[in-house]
Amino acid sequence: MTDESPTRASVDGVLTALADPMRRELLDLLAAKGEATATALAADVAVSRQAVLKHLTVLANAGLVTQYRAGREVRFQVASDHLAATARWMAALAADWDRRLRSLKSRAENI
Amino acid sequence: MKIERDILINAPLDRVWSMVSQPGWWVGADHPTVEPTVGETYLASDPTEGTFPTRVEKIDAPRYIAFRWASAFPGATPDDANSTLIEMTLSTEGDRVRLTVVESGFDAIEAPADTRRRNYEANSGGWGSEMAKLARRASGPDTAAR
Repeated sequence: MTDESPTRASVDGVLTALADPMRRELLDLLAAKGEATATALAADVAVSRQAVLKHLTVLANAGLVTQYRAGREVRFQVASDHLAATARWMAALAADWDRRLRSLKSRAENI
Repeated sequence: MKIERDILINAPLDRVWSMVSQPGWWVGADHPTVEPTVGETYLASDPTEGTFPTRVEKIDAPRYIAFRWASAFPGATPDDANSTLIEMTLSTEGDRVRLTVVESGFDAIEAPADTRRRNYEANSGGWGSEMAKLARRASGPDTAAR
């Protein structure tokens, strides 16, 4: 629709990853904490550490979180690029509608 | 996830309705005038963007009409896996008309290869305002759509 909009592929990955309520909760938690281990996250949600790890892997594949090793721990943090790309994509869609609505208004008002 | 926009139009309700109820009015400029029928699919074309089959989902004249189109797949007939729902609602404010457009269902759109996985994901429930909330947090205020 708009040339500068992010690729469908990256947006689709984000939308799919965020379709699960537990993953949204984990992403929210992670954003609030800054960074955390799977063990720390599991203490705050209603699923096991293994389930948390699985969800984090899906989020990582969508580019929504990154991980790094700190000593014996693996820590996760939010990667905002793809999320921001999705936000830009939504903003572009909204701008498309604003343009269409302005056009309709001017046609409706100029008889 | 949905996009919601509105505009105030200084024209009579019937006139705005006659324009807004035309399937695909938002694609390109000129379309043959039709009497929209629920369940029927109409072709809306734009020289640069392509042709978009647009199906009428629901009509409550002269205040509400809903369409489905596959905006990401020019030429494709809208179905559950490729399309979004566009709802147009008209309300009067004095002698003006407010047109509100809601486009929803972006999270249901899938690439063909992802169909099976997406069907699984879809069963885990839809998602709404969290997306906008997260997007705002990621990129600061004002960049996320409402």
